[in-house]
Amino acid sequence: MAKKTIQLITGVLICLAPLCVIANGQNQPSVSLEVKVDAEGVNPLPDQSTIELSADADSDCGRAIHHEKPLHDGKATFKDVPVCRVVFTILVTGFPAQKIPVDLAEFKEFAILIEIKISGPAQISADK
Amino acid sequence: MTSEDGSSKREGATETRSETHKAGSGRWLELLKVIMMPLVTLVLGFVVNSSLDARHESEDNLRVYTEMMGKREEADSTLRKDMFQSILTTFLSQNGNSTDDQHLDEQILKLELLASNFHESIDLAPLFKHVRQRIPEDGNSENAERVSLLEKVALEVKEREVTVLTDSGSIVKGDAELQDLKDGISALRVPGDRVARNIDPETAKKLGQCKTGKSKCYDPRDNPIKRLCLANTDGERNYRQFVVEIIDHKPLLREARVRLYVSRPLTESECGRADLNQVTYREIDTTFWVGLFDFPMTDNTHLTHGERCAVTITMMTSDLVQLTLAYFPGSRASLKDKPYYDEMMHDLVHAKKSTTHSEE
Repeated sequence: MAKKTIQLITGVLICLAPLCVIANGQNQPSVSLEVKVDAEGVNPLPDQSTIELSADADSDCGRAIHHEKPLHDGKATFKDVPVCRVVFTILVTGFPAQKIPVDLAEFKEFAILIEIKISGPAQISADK
Repeated sequence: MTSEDGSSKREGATETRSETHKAGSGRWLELLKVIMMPLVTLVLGFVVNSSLDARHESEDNLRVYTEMMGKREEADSTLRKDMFQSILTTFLSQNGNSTDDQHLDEQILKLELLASNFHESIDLAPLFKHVRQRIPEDGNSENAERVSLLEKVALEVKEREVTVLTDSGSIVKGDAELQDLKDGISALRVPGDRVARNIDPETAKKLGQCKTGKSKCYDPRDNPIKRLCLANTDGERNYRQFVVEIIDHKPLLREARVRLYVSRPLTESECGRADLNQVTYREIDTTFWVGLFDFPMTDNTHLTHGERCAVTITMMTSDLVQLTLAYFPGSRASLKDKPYYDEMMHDLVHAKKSTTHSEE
């Protein structure tokens, strides 16, 4: 009888385990993120322009993230990104590489507009 | 006897003299022909014979030299093959009797042997990285010494390779502050003589007008990310612009992420321009990770016209990285680097054009 109970409990726990894993992953809310990049004096952006989104495992994102997307018409969309502090790296030929730290909590509801310059830091704003 | 008879006799005597003279010179000519014919034949025969002899001798010498070189190359290849097999087999096999420390020391020694003899033939980076990972980061002085020895071996090989590449290409050494990466990108500090400093007269005029006003002006020469103008001196002289940026680094793995822009082949004046349109003249604009154990001969970037370029780390501390940028012909790349079909076609066409020009 006791053996059967143990087997039953083990079976139930095994069945519930995936649910626990999913629930744990959902602790960090995630968003679909749209980013628009403007480059000073260049329209449209040169082909092969790319944007990378990354975060270290020891950041508040809880896991290592690295996505790389081409910029089509200056736009890129990242799906299922946890709302945390990330870094965008923008690579556009003719412009110095730009690394821009962003707290995604500030841009949960809006697209992000990043304006890069030939000299000087990039400017980031919400594209409302 | 009339005067007419006298004159006719004189004419007759003159004719007889000229005939006698003609006959005499004819005989001389005949004699000369008889003497000259065998003489000319003899001289010509001698000249042709000696020329053929010289040619045969030169061909024989070349054949003997080629055979000797071939045999030497064969013997060398066999020796190298045996040596390579022996070192690599023992390198990859675990010796059960030796302790971990002994095994590490043996592996470093074997790697040093491999690096000294085969750095041009195979990419040794994976083996270096494998051995480096096996050395524990425990603060033990012996292990620190092992790491230092491993890095020294890698550095020596890199220096040897860079020296070979300098012969027919160009190299630039520079350094960058890794502390700057916290604020974004770190620019490479390079010698001023390799930096593109000229600007187009039109741009200079606009810049002059802008500076007289109060608006903020952008002078491409002031950009902290410098454009380097390098020449490849092997065969056709090509100039290209290079831009190197450090965009990230992994202190534990001692690797840096580099962004490398390379232009298409340019003229010397185009190459020296700081305001050249980078998009129009772009050949590559890429990023990659490079570490202390990546060697320029085996780990390089292919460019058009059978050329290569490589970024090598020669030193890396917690706050500084030293880099070497090499631009060289593909013929100087490692032996494993096979030429592409289009590169060979380009070289053949170029060689044909050069021959035609020199003939003209």
